[in-house]
Amino acid sequence: MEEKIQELFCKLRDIGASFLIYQKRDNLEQTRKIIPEIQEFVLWFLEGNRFGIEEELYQNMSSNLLEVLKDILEALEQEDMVLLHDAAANGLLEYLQLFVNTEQEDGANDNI
Amino acid sequence: MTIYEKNLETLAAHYPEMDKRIREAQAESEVEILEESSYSGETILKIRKDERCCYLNGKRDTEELARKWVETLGELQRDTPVLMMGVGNFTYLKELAEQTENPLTIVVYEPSLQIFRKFLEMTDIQKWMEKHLIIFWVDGLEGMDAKSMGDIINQVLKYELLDSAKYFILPNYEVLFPEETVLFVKSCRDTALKELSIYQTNKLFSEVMVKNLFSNARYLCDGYKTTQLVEVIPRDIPGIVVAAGPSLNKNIHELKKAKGKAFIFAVDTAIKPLLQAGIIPDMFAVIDALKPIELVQMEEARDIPLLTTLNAAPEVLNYHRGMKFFFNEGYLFAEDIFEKSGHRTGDVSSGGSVATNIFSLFYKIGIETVILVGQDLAYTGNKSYADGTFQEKIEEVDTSYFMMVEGNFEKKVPTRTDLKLFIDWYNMYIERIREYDKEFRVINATEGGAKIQNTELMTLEEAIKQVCNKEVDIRACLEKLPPMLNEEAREWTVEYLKRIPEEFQKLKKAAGKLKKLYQKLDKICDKKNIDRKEYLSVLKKIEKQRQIIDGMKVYQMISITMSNAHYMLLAEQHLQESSLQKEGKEIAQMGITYIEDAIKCAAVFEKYAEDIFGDLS
Repeated sequence: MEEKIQELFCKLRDIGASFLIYQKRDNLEQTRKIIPEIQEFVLWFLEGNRFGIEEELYQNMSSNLLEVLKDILEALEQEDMVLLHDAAANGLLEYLQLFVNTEQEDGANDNI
Repeated sequence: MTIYEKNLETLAAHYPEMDKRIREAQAESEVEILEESSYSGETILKIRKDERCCYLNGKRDTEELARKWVETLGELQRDTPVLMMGVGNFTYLKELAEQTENPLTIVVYEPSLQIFRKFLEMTDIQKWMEKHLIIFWVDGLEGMDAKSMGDIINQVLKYELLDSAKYFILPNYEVLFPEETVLFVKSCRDTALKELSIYQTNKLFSEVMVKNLFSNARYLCDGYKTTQLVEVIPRDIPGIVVAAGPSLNKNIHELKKAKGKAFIFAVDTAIKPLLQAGIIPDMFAVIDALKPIELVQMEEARDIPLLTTLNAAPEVLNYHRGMKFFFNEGYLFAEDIFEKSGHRTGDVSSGGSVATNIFSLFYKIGIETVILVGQDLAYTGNKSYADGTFQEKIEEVDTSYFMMVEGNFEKKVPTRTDLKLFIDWYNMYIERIREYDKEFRVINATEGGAKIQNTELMTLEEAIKQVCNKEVDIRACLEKLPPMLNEEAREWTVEYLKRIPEEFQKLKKAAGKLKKLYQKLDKICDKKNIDRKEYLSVLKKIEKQRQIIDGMKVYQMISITMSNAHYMLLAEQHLQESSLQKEGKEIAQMGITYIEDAIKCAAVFEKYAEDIFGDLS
């Protein structure tokens, strides 16, 4: 799973950067392609608290993650690129970051 | 006082009556504005339109998009034009206005009056308006609509600023307002293209321009003015613009039936095929500075009255013997002569091609029905021109990479960027005429080519049957006209042209003074500690001397010829260096280089003028 998270993190980060820095307005299209990976991560996270964190914090994080997923799906349905960017870059990406090996990430190919 | 009221006051202080227009405008409820709170409590907007609902700010980070956008713009020079669409997320304008140090020229286009009003409720714009030149263009306000937005963009987007100009459409505006977005992008693109095209044309023609101007100015002495045509041409006959597009071959012979029943006006390139078909047009036009004489070199063409410009190829004017009609083109040295003629001022809207010039002239002399022939504005049958123009048989070209536009008979036809500009010109020009003159009628009898809006499509045969019903002898009408200058004005003109070399001498003297001032500035900036007072005083003197030179009529020819350098100098005005010393040095060195070239240029033109006007009588 770690590898998959790493890959998803890189993809979402690149989509966000293209939108934010290069003003590429194709985040809807790009995100649609990785919806199965996003769903897989969310389900994996919601399967149970196996991260050694307090149960209350885990529950809060879970409901927030569901909110993020809801926004992503609403954005895709409404073709709302602002909501999608916000939910992906300022929501989902923060979760993924918890599981990403930053050393490995630093060495990753930054080919946006 | 609410923020909204305060903003209206601010706007009224910059744009008189804008407050009134905002108050009185009726907003069509085309959008529903939903206010929500972000996670950190700020008000953010969500817009519902046509069953779609989109946010304009992020919920989790409301300012991230705007902050990053402004960061990526980097340091913006003074007066940089920023053209943006949308104020629903005001943080974009806020970041731009507050984070940019230099004053900018910002054009904000907002397609929804409701959103604009909401924007005025949400944030105080006073400080931004004081710091920058901000122009709001809002659909729904009196005098403002997306279609005429081009006029305002035209004033802001100048060639010398094209490189630094920024364009931006707020995310989701393209989803919520797709048609308006296309119009906005099109206005920006068209203006940029036009500026580029004017610059390239100037650059291409600048070397030959002054020689042409002087050479052709001789013909003003016995020439005619287009405004005189109003006195003799009846308005109730149709005017036929004969262009040289590939479709001309289809119906050229039909034109015989229109002779004596319409005002047949041909472009230069159509002259040969027309004469070969036995049709003598009533007038023809030569506008281009580099038009090859071979295109019109036929004995019968020499006496056909000619519409021309001071910049047209002088070989053609020398070859031509008949009446030559000129119009006000804005060349300052010639404007005095036109004024002396006592005739009305009158230009011809160029539109960029010879045919558009003729079209505009027809309208300006009061012709109510215009028929277009051979005006393909496209590569009909993959050909650029009619047979018999540049070659007996024009070869087909590969148009697979050409841009495609809507055709008159075909769904799409291939065209070039410059021809597309002419299509746009026709669309704009006819639309504007019809706003004032509903009776104005344009029949497109090209029988091929690109579609021009607001024209009636018919064959030339049908058009002639329908509107060419009255006998008219255009040649006899024209022969009633006296030359534009009477004897006394003619004598004055000859003397005036003979004095032009002296004007260049005066210009060289004034330029020498300006050079000395630039040298002084350069010296001041060599010192470690700049005397600010002295620095500003020299800058003031430079400005004054530049104004003196700008006011000299013959200087216009120098600035046109040195268009490259002139644009560089204009761009320099917007440049701000990190230190006063660096900025002063830059101004001085650029100024010295420019002025030295201008002096050399003036010397060359002085010689041209002596050679051309020396034996004028």
